[in-house]
Amino acid sequence: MHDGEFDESGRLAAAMRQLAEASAVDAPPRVEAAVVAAFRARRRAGRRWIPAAALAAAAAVLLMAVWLRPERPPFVREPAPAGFFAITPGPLIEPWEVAPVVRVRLGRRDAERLGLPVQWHSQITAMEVDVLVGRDGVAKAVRLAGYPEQNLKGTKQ
Amino acid sequence: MDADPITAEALLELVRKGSADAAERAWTALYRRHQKGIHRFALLMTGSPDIAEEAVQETFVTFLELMPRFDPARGTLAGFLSGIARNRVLRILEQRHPGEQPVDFDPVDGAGHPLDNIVRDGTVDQVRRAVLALPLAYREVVILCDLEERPYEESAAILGCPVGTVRSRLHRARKLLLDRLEPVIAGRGKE
Repeated sequence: MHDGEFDESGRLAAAMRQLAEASAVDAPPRVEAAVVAAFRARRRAGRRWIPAAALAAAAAVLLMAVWLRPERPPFVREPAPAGFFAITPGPLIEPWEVAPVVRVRLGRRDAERLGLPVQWHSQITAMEVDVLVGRDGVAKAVRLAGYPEQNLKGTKQ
Repeated sequence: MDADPITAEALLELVRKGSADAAERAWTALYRRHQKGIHRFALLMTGSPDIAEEAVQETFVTFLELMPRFDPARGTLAGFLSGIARNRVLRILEQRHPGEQPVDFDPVDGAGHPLDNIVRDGTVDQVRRAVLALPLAYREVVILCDLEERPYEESAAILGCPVGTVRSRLHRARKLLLDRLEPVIAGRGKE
């Protein structure tokens, strides 16, 4: 390697270091919220000894049922408050509760794993969903993003 | 003095066996410790903030499943997570852009990119675009070895290829970068 090449390589290395420093950007806070919500859901599912295969099977059955509907709408929702689709058993929220709703971005695989009844088009790989968080901090239900409420007051089902 | 002396292994132990509160705090600490590196890798690999965001999220959600497979004797947690992130990024790119080269090399239009706010030196932006224009196999090795400064052995483990392949790809990638950036770099040398 002659001197010119050595100089060029050194300058390239310096430029790369600058790029590395300039690219060290945190992911948006909503990603942390989603990752922590996934952890809570996973931990809760683990405590109840629900095999992942059973959850996947339930989601598959649900998706199949949706897919076989004659109208094939863009999506359908279970009859839950304000479009929410329960991901844990029991009441979503009690009548006196005010539950926070966190908007997160879900990859296709995660959304399918939750059993979100969505018909995916091939070019869609992610979606925004609202997560209803219970008083115990556990994600109770999800819905497709687009509803105006930020917090949901309890309603009896 | 190390402000955060808790090892990755200790945090993982808390995540697995701690109380609900301790486990969540440990999980959050793990995320905060590693998210920036993964985000940078995904951002540099794709040039897309949306894909990078999705890749970070999918990496950690996938890690929830793969955690039992992590063996500290075989490599670092950062390397393990990078391996997951690399697979996530490639999968997302393949879904969105089947057949390689998803990223446009546009030397002019960079409006709206999150790096634009912090890139004050035009040369850095040129280098970023040149890296994005590399074929994927060269791009990832440049990011791992030259931008993240990982040892060849660790990069090889992340990429699932021999160290010799890393070296040869890196050599070729640097040559491509130098060819593309020669005018820019030469200009900097004259400053």
